Amino acid sequence: MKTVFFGAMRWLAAGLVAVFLWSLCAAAPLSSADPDAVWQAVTGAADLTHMQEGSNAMIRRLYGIDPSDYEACYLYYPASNMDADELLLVKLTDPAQSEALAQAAQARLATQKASFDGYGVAQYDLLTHHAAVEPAGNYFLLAVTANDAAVLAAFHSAL
Amino acid sequence: MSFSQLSFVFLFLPVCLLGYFLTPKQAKPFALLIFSLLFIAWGNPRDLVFIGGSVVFHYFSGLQVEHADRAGKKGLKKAVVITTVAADLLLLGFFKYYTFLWAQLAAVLPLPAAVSVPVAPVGVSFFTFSVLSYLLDVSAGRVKAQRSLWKLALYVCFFPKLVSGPIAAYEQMEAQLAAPALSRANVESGSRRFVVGLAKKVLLANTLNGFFAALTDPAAQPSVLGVWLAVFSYAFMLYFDFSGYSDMAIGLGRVFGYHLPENFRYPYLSGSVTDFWRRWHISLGAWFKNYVYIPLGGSRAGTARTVCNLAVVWLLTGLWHGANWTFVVWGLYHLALLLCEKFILRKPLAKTPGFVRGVFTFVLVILGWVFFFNPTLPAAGRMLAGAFGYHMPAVSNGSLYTLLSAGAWLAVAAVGCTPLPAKLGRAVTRRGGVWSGLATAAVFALLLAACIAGMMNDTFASFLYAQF
Repeated sequence: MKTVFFGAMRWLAAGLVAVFLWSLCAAAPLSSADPDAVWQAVTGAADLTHMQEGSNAMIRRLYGIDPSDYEACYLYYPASNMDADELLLVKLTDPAQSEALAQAAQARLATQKASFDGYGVAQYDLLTHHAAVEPAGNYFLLAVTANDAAVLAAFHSAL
Repeated sequence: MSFSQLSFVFLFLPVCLLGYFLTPKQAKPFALLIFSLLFIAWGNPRDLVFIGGSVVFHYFSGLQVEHADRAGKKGLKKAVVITTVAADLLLLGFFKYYTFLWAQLAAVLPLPAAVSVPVAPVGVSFFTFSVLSYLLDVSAGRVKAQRSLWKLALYVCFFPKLVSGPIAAYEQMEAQLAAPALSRANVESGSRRFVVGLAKKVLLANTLNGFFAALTDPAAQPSVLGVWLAVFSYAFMLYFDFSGYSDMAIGLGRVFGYHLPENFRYPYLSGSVTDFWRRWHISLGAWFKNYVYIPLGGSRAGTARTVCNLAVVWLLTGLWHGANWTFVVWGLYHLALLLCEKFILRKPLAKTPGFVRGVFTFVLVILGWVFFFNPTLPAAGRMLAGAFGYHMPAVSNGSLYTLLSAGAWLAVAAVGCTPLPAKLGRAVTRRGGVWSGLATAAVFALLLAACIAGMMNDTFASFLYAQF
């Protein structure tokens, strides 16, 4: 009887993990959208006043990632030390890269928050309440902008 | 969350230590489990489902295996072990290898686009090997099945070792799970070890990473000198990155009263490639030896079988690091070197002076890293050819400039790979007395301050082995 119970419980656990995994896979299909078009949609929805375009070297410096490892990388970063607005769009060559990117993006946000904590109230608020780290299949977006909801909506509809 | 992030050092760790040491002794392991779960959730709450599900699955698998064994149901026991291992490999394979395998198949077959693979749970390669270790130890009768779900959860989720090991076999950890060896000496030595690891990562690995990135930048003018500088930078960076992480994990473990196995023993001083693999990522080597090589028959079933067993182990070792042909070739490269040493060069090597063997081994190992860090085989091939002057100028302005700026760091890194700094530290602490204590405290305070400055100045650089 015990053996049956143990067997049932282990398969229940395995089944729950499998269902959860399936739901994650179904939620994030791969996109064949052109990365330039996605970037245009994202930047079109954001207010770029407090941002400037970033180079590959800047992506490497701010996120510690190598843009050549990805299919495409785009960056708008703060225009000055007193700004916190930022947009990073990456098209992955392999969806598994999403993990390292999410880690790098969270670390970048943490660094920025530490910079503005107790110093720049508006910037800290922006980084706390208007920052989105959004992996979506083979795309990845980091958006720190007042209208982050609109940027996210534009991002998803462009995929 | 990475150990070298300010949020970990200044927020998570102090809160965790405070909570842990304020908790009554009996409840400390449970408190540590709670903090480990928080650590996982901090990175991605969804990972709790995968890791928690895996713990529950293996908890009942272990109990079922033991129960079937006691009841003499060998067929059932075998079936439970096989299905559990298969489920583990399926999950690991889906996260790590599915996209790669699908791409290989899609190249020859008319297949639809692969489904999107979600971000892999934190430390998936490491916790999968931990749970496999548990099941296989129970199945072999080396340990009893764990009756306490939370103790098994602590073994799997213990946050110092979760992300990048060391892969502690269940057999090694079982006795410690409910009874951590708490002492002031452990807290002191563990803290020192943590700071040493942090310094290896922040001061050395991250700095060398800057040189490596500059040397391998597609815009950089390639040269033989540049290639060798890149190879040296990467070799030292990888060592300080991963051994730094291991030091931090072992140090943290010790602070909490848990002994984690060593992962490195001055690998770049090895006298042969065989020796290198007894000193580099020791816990992974031990895992493959105990759970793959020996069960396959090891070296006791004749030469052909030994070669076959080694081939399986090195193919798996290569693939464990990632789904890419470069890792497969890297594994096979080491297999070839080990077979040469075992069957061809054993006698000549025994007669070769130790220093010559050491240099020869070091060069062979760092050339192997070329497959490790290049994204494709052609890129690795071009780099290896370039290292020996094929279609490449001897020097370039950029490589000369990097030599001048990186030379001192590479020299420091080379010394850091030897036991010299540790010997120096021990010489100071062994003297005892107030001055020795003050000197030790001052050195570690300075190291920590330098690390904090480095962490604030540097942008984020994740641990290299966290991606495997």
